[in-house]
Amino acid sequence: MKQNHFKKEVATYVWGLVAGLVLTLLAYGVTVAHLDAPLTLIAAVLLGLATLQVITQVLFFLHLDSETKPHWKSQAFIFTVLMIIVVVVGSLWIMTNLDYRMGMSGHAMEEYMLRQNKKGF
Amino acid sequence: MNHVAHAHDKHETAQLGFWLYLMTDLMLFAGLFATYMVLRGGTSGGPTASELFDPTFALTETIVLLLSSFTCGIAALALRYKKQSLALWGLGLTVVLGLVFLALEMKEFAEFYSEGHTWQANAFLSSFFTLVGTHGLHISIGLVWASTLLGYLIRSPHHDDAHRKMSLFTLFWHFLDIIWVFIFTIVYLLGVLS
Repeated sequence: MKQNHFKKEVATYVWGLVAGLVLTLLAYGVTVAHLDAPLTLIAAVLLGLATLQVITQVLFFLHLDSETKPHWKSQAFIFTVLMIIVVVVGSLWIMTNLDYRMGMSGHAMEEYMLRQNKKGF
Repeated sequence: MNHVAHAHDKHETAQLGFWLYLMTDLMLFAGLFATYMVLRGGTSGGPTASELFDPTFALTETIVLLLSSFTCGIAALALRYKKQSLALWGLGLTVVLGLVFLALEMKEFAEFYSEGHTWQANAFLSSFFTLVGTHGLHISIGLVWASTLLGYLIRSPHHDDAHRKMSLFTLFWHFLDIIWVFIFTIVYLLGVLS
């Protein structure tokens, strides 16, 4: 009986490894295939594959789905992921916006500011 | 029974505490990723990411680290089922694969340096070396930890603490692979494409 449990648990790790290898090779293939698609689309696909791989590892290697109540680990993890999204997306948003405005000529900047003012804050 | 319950409690507390540390570690990497993504265009005339990175080399590193994450998980599982020799083999293999990964990373860094692409060269390389180097530093610390753990398991494989010690290291090592998945995607694959 115990031997059966062991084999079952080993199987989850093997599935995790197979999923990881497949997703990694897929991402590599998408990168080197010189696809005739817009870069943003390819980037979105690659980030999607990375997210999928993290989900499989969290389930098959870290077994977060079998955590018992009160689910402290899961809560901390989800909160951290949210914070990471805020930090990373927020930084990129602010810095791209800053870059966009700093690249303007004085005249274009003035017009941009006037346009923003009309919109109201 | 009381003793067993106490040991279980200690195990759970240690796991949760270490898990919370790992969450703060993820936040550290979030900051480094954000910095890298903002600065990666700042090459000031030097080579860009697509000229510098070799996706096949990065793929090799990724597969080595993924395999080590797998062997590490198997080692922890084996220890839980009192299969001591399988646990020793698993952890030993993890150390070897970790060393291979670190050697590959050192080789890449050394090549960049010998070609003059140091971390003082421009903002892109500064953020690249900081992000990937911090991960490499974590791997090095993990290898020291795994080696001492291996020594402990050889000396006292049947000790009650063995499982707890092993499970904490396993968490650490799995998270390093999760962070590497994003380094592989954002630094290397997206770098090659841009």
